[in-house]
Amino acid sequence: MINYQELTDQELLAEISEKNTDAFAALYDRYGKRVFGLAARILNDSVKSEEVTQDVFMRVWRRGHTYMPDKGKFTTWLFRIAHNRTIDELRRLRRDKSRYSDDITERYDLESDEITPPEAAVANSEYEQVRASLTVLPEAQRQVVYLSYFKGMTQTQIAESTGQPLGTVKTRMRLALKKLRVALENEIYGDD
Amino acid sequence: MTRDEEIIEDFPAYALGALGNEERRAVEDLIERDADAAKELAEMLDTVAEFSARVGEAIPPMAVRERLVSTAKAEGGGTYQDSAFSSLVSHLENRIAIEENEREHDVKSVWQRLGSLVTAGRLAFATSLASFVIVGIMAIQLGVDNVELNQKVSDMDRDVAAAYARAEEILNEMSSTEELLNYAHERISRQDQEIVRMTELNDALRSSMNDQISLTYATLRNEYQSPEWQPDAGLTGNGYAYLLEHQRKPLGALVVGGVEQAPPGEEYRLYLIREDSEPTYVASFDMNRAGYGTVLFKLTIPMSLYDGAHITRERTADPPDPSLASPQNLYKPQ
Repeated sequence: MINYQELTDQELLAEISEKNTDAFAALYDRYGKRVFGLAARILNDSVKSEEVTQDVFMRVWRRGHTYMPDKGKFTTWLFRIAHNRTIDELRRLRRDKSRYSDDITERYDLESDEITPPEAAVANSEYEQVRASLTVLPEAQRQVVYLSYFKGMTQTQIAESTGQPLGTVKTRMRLALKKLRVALENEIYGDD
Repeated sequence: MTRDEEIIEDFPAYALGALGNEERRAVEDLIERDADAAKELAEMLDTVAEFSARVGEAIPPMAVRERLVSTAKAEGGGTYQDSAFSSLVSHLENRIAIEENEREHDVKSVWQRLGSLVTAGRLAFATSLASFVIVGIMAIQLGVDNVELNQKVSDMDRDVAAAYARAEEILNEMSSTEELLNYAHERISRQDQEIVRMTELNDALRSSMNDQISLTYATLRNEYQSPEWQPDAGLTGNGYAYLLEHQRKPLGALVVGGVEQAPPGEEYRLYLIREDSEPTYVASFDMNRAGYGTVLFKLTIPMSLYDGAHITRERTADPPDPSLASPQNLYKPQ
């Protein structure tokens, strides 16, 4: 019997392309909690997070064959799908219910309870790493990353909301990603 | 700055999901035709993906996994294991993963102590345990199914028995109805026979009555003689009458048949008629139940001197009224 837990992401995807539901289940077991955690952290809504998680993995099931290894890692592909789907849901909810405040100061608060969904049981130890990564960023850069990544605002909206020139927002995003990359790599190497 | 350079400036926003649809498509178009740009963007996407992977785990409900696997199967997916079995294995693996995570963080939990007992064979143990649980659940489920099935069979048997009983009742009712119908037919048949018998009796009675009239007439004829004329046979519908005159005495006789009895308080009266004088009352009489009557009366002059006879039906209490004798009842000599 195949032990799917021992297969690599690529091998599982190959099985999924052959419509192997065991491989699909194994891939979900490997990444489901992270995808759900990401959605729960951003949406702060368990039911919506379940929907997003299902959509993400059904996309893997149906379109897994479109993933091209030469264009990036599987996790990059998977989490990009997960984040985009989560942001889409966040924007839809915002349009439907205006449930998210337009107060920029309220939105931008990494220490607030708003980004710690009580019902999602997100492993806070890892989130501490994310929070730590963000804290290495200067205040202005951390702000644009937070508003875009966690709040789904476009760079144009951020510029309008914060009163910053669009070019400045773009620059800060670029600088933020560079520093974030270094910080995350250090954490990874540190783990090893 | 070229258009492509402007698009490349949007790469960080693309990686963070902070572009509108149009800008996003522009980025994707560019990386399709610019490998260097694609590489630059891939690095940013990796960074964000690493970030996303570290946002944190949360354990979704087991139903999410069940729905995903069942949907995948519905869309043509195959499996090597029962989904419930896989779910249990996955559940146990999740618990084991939690144990490991807690152990790494030096958290002494029940699961950690359990995990220390289960080493390399943990998965095998979990699989065996899951198999045992599945077999147990299936056995219980089969037992429940069997009980439900027996109950359904019992219910169906009861329904069939009730249907048979009802059918039997209907057949009995039909049988009763048929018996009633037969009885009615028999009664009708008997009544028909009775009618036939009564008709025959009536005919016999009529015949007997005629015979009696004929016999009376024949008896009287020994001493009486018929006048030259006789009453009209159409006296009262089917009625008929014979007048006779004694050969040696001044007596007359009237024999009537086929005439109904007079109602109570009334009687028939015979008048003899001469054309040049008033009708002469000669006798009163009634019919018996068979419609037969005979009366003798005195003659003051020979019957041959009369021109005819007249019968009326008058009140018994009233004296004879010759004026009631109408020409319609006039007995003409033949």
